[in-house]
Amino acid sequence: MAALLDVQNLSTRFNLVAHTVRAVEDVSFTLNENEILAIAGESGSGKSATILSILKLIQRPGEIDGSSRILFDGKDILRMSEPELNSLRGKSISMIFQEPSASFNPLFTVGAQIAEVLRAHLRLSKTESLCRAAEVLAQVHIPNARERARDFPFQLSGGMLQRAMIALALACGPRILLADEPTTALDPTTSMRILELLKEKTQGAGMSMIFVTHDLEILSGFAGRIMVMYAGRIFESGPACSVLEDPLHPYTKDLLAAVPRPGVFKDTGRLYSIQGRVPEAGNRPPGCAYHPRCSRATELCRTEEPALIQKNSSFVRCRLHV
Amino acid sequence: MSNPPFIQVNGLVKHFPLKAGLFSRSTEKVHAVNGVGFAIEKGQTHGLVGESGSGKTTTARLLLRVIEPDSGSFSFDGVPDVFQLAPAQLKKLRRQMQYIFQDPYASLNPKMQIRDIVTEPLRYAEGAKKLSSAQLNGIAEELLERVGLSGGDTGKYPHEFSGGQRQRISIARALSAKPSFIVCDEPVSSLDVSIQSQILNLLLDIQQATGISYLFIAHNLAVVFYLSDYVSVMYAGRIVEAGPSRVLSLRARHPYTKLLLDAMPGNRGAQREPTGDAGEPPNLIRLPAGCAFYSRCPRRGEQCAREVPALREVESSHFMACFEQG
Repeated sequence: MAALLDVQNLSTRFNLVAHTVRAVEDVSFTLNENEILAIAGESGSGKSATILSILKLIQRPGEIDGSSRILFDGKDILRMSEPELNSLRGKSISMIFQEPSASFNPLFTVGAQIAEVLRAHLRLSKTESLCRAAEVLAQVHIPNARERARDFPFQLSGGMLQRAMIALALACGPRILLADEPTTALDPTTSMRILELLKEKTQGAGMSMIFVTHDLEILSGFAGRIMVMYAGRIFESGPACSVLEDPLHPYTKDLLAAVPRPGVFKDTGRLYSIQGRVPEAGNRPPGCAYHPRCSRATELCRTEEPALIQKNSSFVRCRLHV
Repeated sequence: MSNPPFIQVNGLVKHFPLKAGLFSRSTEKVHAVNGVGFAIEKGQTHGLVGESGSGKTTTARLLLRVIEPDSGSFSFDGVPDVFQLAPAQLKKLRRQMQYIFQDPYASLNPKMQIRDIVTEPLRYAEGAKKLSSAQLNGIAEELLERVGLSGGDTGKYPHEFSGGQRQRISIARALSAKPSFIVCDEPVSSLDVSIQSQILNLLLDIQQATGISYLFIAHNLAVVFYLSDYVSVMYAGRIVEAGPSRVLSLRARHPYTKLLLDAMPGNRGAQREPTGDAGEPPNLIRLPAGCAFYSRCPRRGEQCAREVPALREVESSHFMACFEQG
C-alpha cells in the first residue's frame, strides 16, 4: 500500500544575508493512513520547518530545495499551483499550533471563524456554516457548543481554545493533521485530555497526524512512530516503543535521561544534563552535529558525518551502530 | 518548642475587585488566594503546584509585596510580619528576597548590557555601598561564571543569548544581592528538556553552596517533586494537600492531587482509578459554596457541596483538605 504522504529528500534552507541557515537537510519519511507520527527534538532542530514545508508555507528568504518531493496521494505538493495549494491547505491537510490564543482573530467569534473555513472550502451558506461550526465544536467535546460558538476567543480558557482550534482544523475532515506543539502551552491535565482527543480523532475519522513536540515523554502510548531530529537531520526514527524504551542514538538517550521521573528526588542525585545547546543553524560543527555534546563521541565523529542506517525496525544516524 | 521556621506564611488572602465600568461600583471579586499558609526552613525548597489560575503566582507576588494582600501574615527570618513593614523597612529587606520569572525573554531589559542587568539589585539596594563601575564589572563577571556563562559576556545584550542562557542571567541577577530567599516562578516551563535539567541542577548547586531557600512554582509535578523538600498543591486559591515531596508522590490522598499525578506522562494510564472529569477549574468570581473541586471530583458526597473542607493532618506532616477518609 502506498503511503498517504511520502516526503523524499526534503531540504529547506533560509538564505540570509550573512549566511545560509540549513533548517532541514535531506529528510525523508512516510506517513500511513491512520498513523500518528511524532517529530521530536529541541528548539532549532528543524521540526517546525519540516511540517511548514509540507504545506509549502516556507516564504522567502526561505526556500525548499528543487530536488525535494512531497507526495500526497501520489501528487507532488511542491509542484502544485497556488489554487491547488489553497484547496489543499485547511481541507485535506490542516494544521494546529502551539499558542491557540494567537491563532484566532480576537475580533470575531470562534464560531464565525470556523464557519469561514467551512464556507471557503465546502461552499456552504452562511446559516449552514454557522450551524456546522457549532456541531464541530461539539465533536471536540466542548460543552454547550452552541453558546460557546458565539464566544470570542478571550472568553474561552486555554484548554477550551485549543479544543476550538482542533475543531477549526478538523472542520473540513482533513486526511492529515499537522500539529505543532499543541500541548506545550497547556497544563498537564488539559494536555492529557487534548492528546486523548487527538488520538480519538485519528482513530475514528480515518485521519493521520504528524505531531511535533520537544517532550518525548508525552508520546508514550500516543504516537505510533517517532522521528528524532537534531540540527535539521533525522537522528533516529522507529516504532514509538523502541525509541522510548530502547533508544539507539546517544542523543535520544540523553533527552530521555534529562527528564525528572516519578520517584526521583534531589537527594537521590542530579539529573542527567546535556551540556551545551543545539548548534546554530548557520554554524554547525563538521562531522556529526551532536559530537560536541555527546559523551560517546570519537575522533571520527568530529570529521565524518554518519549516514542514516537501518537497525532492526529503526533507523539511526550514529557511528556506534555501524 | 523548636525555633520558628525561617519563613512562615499564614492565612494569606487576596481578592481582586472587578471593575464593571467607569462609574459603576462592582461588588464582584476574583477570589485569587483564599487563605494560604506554609512554612519554609532555611536551605529548603517549598514547591507550589496547581493548574493555571490556582493562585500560585499571586501567592508569590503577595510575599514579595508586588501586590498587597487583603489579609494574612508573613514572618521572615526573625521579622514578625513583612506585610506590616513600612516602605523604608521593606526596602532594606528587599535584597533578601529575589524573584526568577518564567519568561526569560520578557524579564530582561533588551536595552541593558548584561553587566547592568545582573548588578541592578546591587545598585538600587538600600544601604549598598557605592561601587565603582570596575567593581561592578568584576562582580558581574563573577556572577556570570557562577551560573555557567563566560565572564567575558558582561558587555553583551540579552538578544545575544538563548532562552536557557537568559534564564541563567536571571539567576545571576537574583544572586547578586546575596539573598536568603528566591521565588522561582515557573523558571523552566518555557525551556527545552535538555536545558531544563541544566537549570534545575544549577538551582540545586546554588542551594547547596549558599543554603538559600526557594519557593518553587511549577505546573509540572515531576519537576516540583524532584526539586522540593515539601510540596503544597493549590486549587482555586487554597492549598488542598501538602506534605513532604516523597510522601506526596507516593501516597497522595486528595482526589485533585491524584488527578495531577495521573496526568504525569510517566504515570499515564498506570493507575487509572477513576480520577474524575478533567473538566475546568471553577469560576473564581463565583466560587462554589462547598469544596471548589466538587464539580470535577469522582468521590464527591453531599457534605462536599455545602462545606469547604479544612486542611487536616492525615499523617505526620501530611495535610489534606477533603472530607473523604482517603
